[in-house]
Amino acid sequence: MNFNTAALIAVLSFNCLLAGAADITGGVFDSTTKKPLPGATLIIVGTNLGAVTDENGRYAIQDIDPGVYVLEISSLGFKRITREIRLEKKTSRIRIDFSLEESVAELDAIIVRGESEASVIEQEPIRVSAIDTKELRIQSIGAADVLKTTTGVVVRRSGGLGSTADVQLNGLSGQAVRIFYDGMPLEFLGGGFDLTNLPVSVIERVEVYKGVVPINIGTDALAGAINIVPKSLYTDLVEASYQFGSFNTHMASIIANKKISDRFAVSLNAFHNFSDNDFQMEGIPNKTVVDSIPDRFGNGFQLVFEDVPIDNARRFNNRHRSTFGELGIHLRDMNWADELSLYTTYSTRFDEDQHGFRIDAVAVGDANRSSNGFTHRLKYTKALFNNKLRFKYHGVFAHGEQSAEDASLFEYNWFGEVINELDELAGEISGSATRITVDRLSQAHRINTTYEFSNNHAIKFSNFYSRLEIEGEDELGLRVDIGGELIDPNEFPSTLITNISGLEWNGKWLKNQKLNTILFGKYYYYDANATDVQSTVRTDNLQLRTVNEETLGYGAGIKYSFTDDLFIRASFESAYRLPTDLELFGNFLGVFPNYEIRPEQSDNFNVGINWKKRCKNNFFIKTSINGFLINTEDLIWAQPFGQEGSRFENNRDTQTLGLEWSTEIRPDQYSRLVINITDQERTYQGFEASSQSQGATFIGTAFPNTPFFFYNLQLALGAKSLRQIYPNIQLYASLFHTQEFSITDIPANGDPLPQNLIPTQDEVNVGLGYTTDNEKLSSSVQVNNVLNSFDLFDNFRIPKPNRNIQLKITYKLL
Amino acid sequence: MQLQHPRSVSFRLLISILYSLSATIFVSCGDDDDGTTMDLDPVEEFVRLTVVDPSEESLSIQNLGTTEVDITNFQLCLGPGQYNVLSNYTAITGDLNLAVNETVVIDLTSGSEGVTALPDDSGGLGLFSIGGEFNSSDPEIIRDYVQWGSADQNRVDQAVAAERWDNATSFINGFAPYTFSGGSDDVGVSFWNTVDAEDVRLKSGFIINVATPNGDRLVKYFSTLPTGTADLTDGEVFQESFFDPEDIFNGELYTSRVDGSGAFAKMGVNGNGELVEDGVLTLPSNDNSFLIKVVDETTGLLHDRGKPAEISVFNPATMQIDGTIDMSAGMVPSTHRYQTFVISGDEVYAAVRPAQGGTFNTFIFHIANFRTGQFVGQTEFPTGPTTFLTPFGQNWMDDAGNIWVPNGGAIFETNFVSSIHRVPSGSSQFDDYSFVPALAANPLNQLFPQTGQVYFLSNNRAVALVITEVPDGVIDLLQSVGGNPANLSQEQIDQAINLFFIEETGRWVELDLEAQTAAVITGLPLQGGFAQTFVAEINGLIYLSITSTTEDAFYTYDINTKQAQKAFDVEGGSIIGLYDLSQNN
Repeated sequence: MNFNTAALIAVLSFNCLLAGAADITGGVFDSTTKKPLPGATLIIVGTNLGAVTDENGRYAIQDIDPGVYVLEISSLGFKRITREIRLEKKTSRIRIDFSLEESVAELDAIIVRGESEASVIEQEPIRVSAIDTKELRIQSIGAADVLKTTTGVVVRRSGGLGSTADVQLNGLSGQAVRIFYDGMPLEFLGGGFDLTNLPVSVIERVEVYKGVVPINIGTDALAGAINIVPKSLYTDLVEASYQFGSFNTHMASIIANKKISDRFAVSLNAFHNFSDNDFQMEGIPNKTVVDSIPDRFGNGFQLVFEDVPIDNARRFNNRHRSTFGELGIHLRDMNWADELSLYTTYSTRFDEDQHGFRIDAVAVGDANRSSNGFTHRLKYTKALFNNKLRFKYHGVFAHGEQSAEDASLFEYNWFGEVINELDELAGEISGSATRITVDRLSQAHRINTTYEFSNNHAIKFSNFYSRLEIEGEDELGLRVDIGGELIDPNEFPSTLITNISGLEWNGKWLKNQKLNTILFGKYYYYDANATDVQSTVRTDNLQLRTVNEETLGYGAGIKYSFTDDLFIRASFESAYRLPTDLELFGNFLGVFPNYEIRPEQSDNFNVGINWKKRCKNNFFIKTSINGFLINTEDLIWAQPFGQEGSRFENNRDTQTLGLEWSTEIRPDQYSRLVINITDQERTYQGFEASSQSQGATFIGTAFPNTPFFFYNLQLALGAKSLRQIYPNIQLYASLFHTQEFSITDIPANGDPLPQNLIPTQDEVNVGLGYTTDNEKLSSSVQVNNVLNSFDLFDNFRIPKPNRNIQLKITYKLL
Repeated sequence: MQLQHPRSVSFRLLISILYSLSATIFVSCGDDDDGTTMDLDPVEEFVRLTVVDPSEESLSIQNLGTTEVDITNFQLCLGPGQYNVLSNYTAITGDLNLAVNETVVIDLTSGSEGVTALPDDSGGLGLFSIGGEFNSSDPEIIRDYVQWGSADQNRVDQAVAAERWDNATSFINGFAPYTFSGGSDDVGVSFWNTVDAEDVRLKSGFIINVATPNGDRLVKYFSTLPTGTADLTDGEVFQESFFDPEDIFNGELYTSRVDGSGAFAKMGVNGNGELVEDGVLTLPSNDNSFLIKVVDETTGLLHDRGKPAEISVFNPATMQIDGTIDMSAGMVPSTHRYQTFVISGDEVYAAVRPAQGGTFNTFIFHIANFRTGQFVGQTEFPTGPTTFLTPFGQNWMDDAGNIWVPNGGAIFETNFVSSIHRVPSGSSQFDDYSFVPALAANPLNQLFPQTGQVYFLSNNRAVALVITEVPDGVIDLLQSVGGNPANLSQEQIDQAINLFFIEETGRWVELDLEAQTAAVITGLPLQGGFAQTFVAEINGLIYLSITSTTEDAFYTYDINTKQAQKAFDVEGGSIIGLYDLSQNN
């Protein structure tokens, strides 16, 4: 398969290389202020050629065949202009500058064509993938689906819309991967939304920073960071979408923006999701009464149970409901602010839990979780000194409440029937009944400052500060005896303060800025405060515990452009991941505190080569090959502790070595093929002295539950011939392949047991989209898991939904 | 093929009389040079061994002829000095007067001498007629023969000469029981079948399991105790904590089901040394439970966390619950479950613990009669906050019937002291016995006199892992507060606890429970005071696990000679257990 794909790319590339072409370069400026206009769009009408200006207002459109073209230039808040351009055969490069006048309305300006913002981001010296959702917006997918279409990313869920998702990036997962919404860590945004319930309609793009994370994004990520960038508009627009389909799934979203004046706009971004998620599963053990036998003490009969595999298990306690609404007020071009946005968000969600980590013979029938909260965000930007000094602030205050109820008097089988009534409330998932509510009060503030010494050198400073206060109540949970009074330990508040500062120097060197460099350092600090419950019990007096630590990280990146189409880059970061409150303070349910725990540390090395080519016949190809090496030390891991229980400790080192290949081919402006292949291996490398002998023989063996080879293919088909007959129709399909892997350790000389293997999986989704001529109305029908495979699994062999159909309609009112 | 018997009936009668006399006075199986031979009743040649089972010490004899045969006086012989007449054995099914096609199954263990067991590895068994003089070297009186395991077993030459076996070098190679598939005329190895390795359940050998870095269980079978290094790097891996046996009975390990489904399983070892699930007991409730105990072939006890006020009685053969004992009459401080069972006669002593985290301030036994299904009483001992130490198997009761309770204390609450208490033999109530092993081992360890595990032996002896060393960091902390532990701040106490945990502070000691003394077992390295440890008694030696920064190993300790030495290293992970399939715990 790899060979065939490579051959196809080679042939197509050769065809492309036969064509000769010219380049247009130049700059776009504000006609009034004469300032450069970053983000302005230039397109050659009738082609898919185009560009977006960089932060200095510069652009370059390459490989344009001789001929006469109309060049359209637009930018938010400015009047669109068109210019005719004639390219003679002997022309190889021309330079044209444009000046734009401010405009009242410029609807189409928000449609990014040619070199998108995502493409620009991908050309940074550090390794980053950016997925532009523009071409995905008619599809029935969400943020998690968008995310997994890039290389090196595995998204594993516990089933259906809204279900818990674990993101694995370059072999690392959990706390090593940080997820941001509009540059702000998700955990500070109220808890009502995340990757699993954000529809694609409200997303501008998804940025995936692998390994090395720039100072303006990162907090304390080890494996990388994922930033979901919402749509942000400064024009009049109302776009609504509604999706419905199998399992009683409904997803509605609306984006509305009203430009009141040149300096004032309001926006609304909202969605509502609902799904029963009641898909069917095969091969599920189902607790069944198979017999009754006489009681040996003469007390009637005893029922005999067996776990009988069934192929028609249906998830019946799996509903998801979420609502999100965000109102925004936007000011721009004020004396005191270039841009100021205020957002108020309310989000709420409710999720039923059908099972725990794994599926067993008894279905969970009553457990559920919910959360809701208000979030207030402020974004501010101001440029000074002729745009040489740029200042950005993004702050958030959030108050959220999260609840979890795992207390039932019943036990259910996989037909949803009650098979056992209990004498007292019991936990269906956890070992004991719980009905916990946690109040989370959080704030986070990020400051980014950039000062450009010249066109080639800039220095950036970033500071991220966050404070999280948690207080809870579990009306059914453990009580500790303090001075004769039984106290719910969840009632003791805890706080976690984090501050991460970064200083970065960007340099551009050599002729035409062929060499780009980044050098940065980060300062990590955390301060955790909680009640030391065990000490409080010992002394009968409230004992507060403070833990703080500081450390330094650093990194560098370099990019060399051989041409505008070919560059290589390499980057390195020594990064840290700070302990969480659970890892520090435990949970009163078997996890003991460890006040001595250290941050996890990793050294990330990345190297890659990127090449793209655009041809006269609109053929476009882009490919990149990247290698990465991540050495993680002091991995925080739960270990058995005491007579029973566990404690998080820094006791192992791992190494992840990987290779990624990504290629995008556009035979014409209507079709697209994207191939992303990841081959990686994460292995144990060492163990801390106290556990040295325990794992010595596993050094060099695979870290469990980590896929090592996977690829995805994304195909959008609207070939020219097809478009001539059905001009508004697009066919699209995707294939996700994951090679077999083990969820347990594999001994040096052994093989994993079959029951511990996740088999090789191929998930195929297909869709058909239709868009009207004026692009106001679009609709699609999508069939997921079209092969109806019951051998598709998420985390720990949890089956994915069987074949399902989703319909989606999107309509632009303005 | 039929044998030829040319001699006359009168001659056979004479020889029979003489032989009976001689057999009565001195059976001559061991005398290979006994001389005379005689004619036998032709019908006896159709009496055949049809099943030979060294694993169960039984055999089947069938009359494949057309005439009834009395085999009461037939002899079994394994070789010189190993013989016995069938009349000395108990028939499991059938009798020794075999009708046509009738089979008798003999329990060899019922014989008082001679052939009371069949060698597992290799052997040759002859069936002799005593229709006349018994001479095991005489081919004429061998009625049937079978050899297994290896060639050239005792009496094979006679059997071949008598055409009762095909070749001295041919033998049955496979797993018992060996079953005869031929007809009355067929002899030799080609007519004997063995059991497929997958269908065999080994009753001897050892299982070792270790924890992998991910907490998974790596498991391997060893037919004999390893020497040098027990290499588990090619063992089977089960998911986390899903293979931690609670009990062994009749070669089956009773454990939580390895797929994590919350049920119990009994797992045997097949002929390939692989663990096989031989039965599953699905609990009525869905709570994971880990407490299961087999009493005998038909009775076992388990506790279902979803039914805290009950003890369930099950049949290990069918793995079905067929009785429940209502324990609601027992006193409990709050919601509870049972942590371990101690079997004393027909009574079970069920140790009470909190249903979830935390501790009780008193140790409580609920007592029930599992034959009648009745709650019979309780006993308690005020320990202070306690978590108690529960090693594998039925170890809290010694040979004299004393029940010993190792109270681990509760390090994260107020009780740093581990102690031992007792329900004396003949009583159902705690007496006032109390013993702190760590203080006996090191009186200076006043701050943290903790015990990691206690294993009780006979004669008031026990071995225990106790904290004998005080880390330098703790000494520094104490010196910083004037040497008085009472002056330590809470943070300093936490630091001290952490040091005790992460440093190698524990040693195996031998306890004299009566004298309340502790003697460090010399020759064993230090290890973590709270390391996962395991103790087993095998062949008169005590196997003690060592998990330290430098080794994972089992050492043997001879309680009589007080000598300890390394038995074998373990490679593949940190030691969880060593299980002897031949022992019923």
